[in-house]
Amino acid sequence: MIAIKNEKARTFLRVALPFFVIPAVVVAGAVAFGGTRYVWVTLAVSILALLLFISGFEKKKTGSRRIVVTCVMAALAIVGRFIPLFKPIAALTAICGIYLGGEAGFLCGALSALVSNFYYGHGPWTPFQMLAWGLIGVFAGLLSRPLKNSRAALCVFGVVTGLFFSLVMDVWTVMWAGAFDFSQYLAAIKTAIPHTVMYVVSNVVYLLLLRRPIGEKLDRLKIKYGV
Amino acid sequence: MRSLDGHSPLSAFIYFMSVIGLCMFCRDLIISSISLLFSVLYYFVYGAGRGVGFHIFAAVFFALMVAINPFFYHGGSTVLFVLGDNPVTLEAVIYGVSASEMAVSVLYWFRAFTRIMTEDKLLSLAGRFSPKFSLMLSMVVRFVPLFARRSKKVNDAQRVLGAYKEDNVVDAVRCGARVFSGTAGWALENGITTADSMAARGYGTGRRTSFSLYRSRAHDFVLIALTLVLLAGAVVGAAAGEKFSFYPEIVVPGGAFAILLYTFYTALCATSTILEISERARWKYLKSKI
Repeated sequence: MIAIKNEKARTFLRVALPFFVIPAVVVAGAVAFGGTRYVWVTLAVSILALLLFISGFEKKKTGSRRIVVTCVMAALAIVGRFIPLFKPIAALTAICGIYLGGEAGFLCGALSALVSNFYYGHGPWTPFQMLAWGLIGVFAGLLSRPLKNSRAALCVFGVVTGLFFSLVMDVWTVMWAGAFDFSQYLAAIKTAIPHTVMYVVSNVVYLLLLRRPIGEKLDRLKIKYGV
Repeated sequence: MRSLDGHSPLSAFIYFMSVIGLCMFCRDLIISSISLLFSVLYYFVYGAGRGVGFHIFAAVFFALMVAINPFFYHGGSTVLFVLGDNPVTLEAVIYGVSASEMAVSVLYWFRAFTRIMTEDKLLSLAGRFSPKFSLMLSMVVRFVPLFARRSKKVNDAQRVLGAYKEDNVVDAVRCGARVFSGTAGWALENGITTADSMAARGYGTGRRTSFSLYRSRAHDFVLIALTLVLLAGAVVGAAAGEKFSFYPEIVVPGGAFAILLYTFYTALCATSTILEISERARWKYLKSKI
């Protein structure tokens, strides 16, 4: 992987790749395979995106403290997933992104999806979850300033990411069952409403409850140890 | 012959991905039936899980998906009956069966995959690709039980201090968050200690390598070669032969290429079960000689 010197260009690529290049590949693949192989195309693309990100991370020099703190956040998110009913993974990933930057957020989300599926069972959905949670971390990192300062922004972010995660996983459900069909997608969204509501509510609740205490701890680590 | 468990992580990984990938790629009633048959067979032969909960879930999922498809697709020439204004066709039902067979068989394959590809195996796989990511993965895997124990201790202490009312959801959530916050404080501080210890032992000074318990032996290469040959044959058969078509009429493909695809895929799916059974048989034989 070629290291890109310009910071702005790097950030741009990191956003552009998952959001523009990958959908373009999906559309191209859909056209090439006559609209029957969406699952394959999207699965390949999401694995590719993860590999791309990880190989970029591998080349960089990252301090040991930063790595360990990111791992700690991912492990905390998984431990939190054991609490019945509520799923704090997205909230903790977002907090990690807000206070430690987009890259740490991405790793936190992707790692916690990967490891928690050792407990909940792997499936073809694992790369999708890794990517979806990872992207939540990236966006939290990009929006860190408003999210740190405003509770309203935090609430909106929680709602949007809850919806985002649920809708992405619904796309996956429909494609897995067959070719993508819009009426089936709507039906899947409808049956998933309780889950969606749960994601949104737990996102908002946990973001509001945990942002201050966990954020203070992370800030303290930054001041005291220079993470 | 060793069972899939006794092979190196790479060969087991390639095997599972080939079986699952081909099944997901071919929209074909026969392929999905073969896959379902062998995935369930392997699940039981390997003993991937106990309890009936998963089977009930799989059966309900299967039935639901078969039932849903005909109400969304009305293509096909054989109308079974008309519901409201919409015809329910045989072709749509068969398509639903095929799609749900595929989905359920992938569920079963992944159950076995989760049991066989344990954390350490996945770590040694990831270590080849990215030692740094593999390091992070191993740390997270270690931290999870550590934090779970720690959070139980914090929870007990909070309870003794009088936290929690039994019948109050808001209270439960707040106490949960407080316990969590306490655990997090300890965990982060502990993480810094770990990081300093890593730095003291020379982390970041040289190229990172990753330790792996698993070494590739001759039988691993045999399994990889076998998998790839069967996969290649099946892919050639799928690409060159006629396709299984559902609409407007069900056409089962014939000809040499279709036969190639089906036999090779059956052989591929059966490999895991055959390996497992032959290892069990060998154990029995060796024990009987003692």
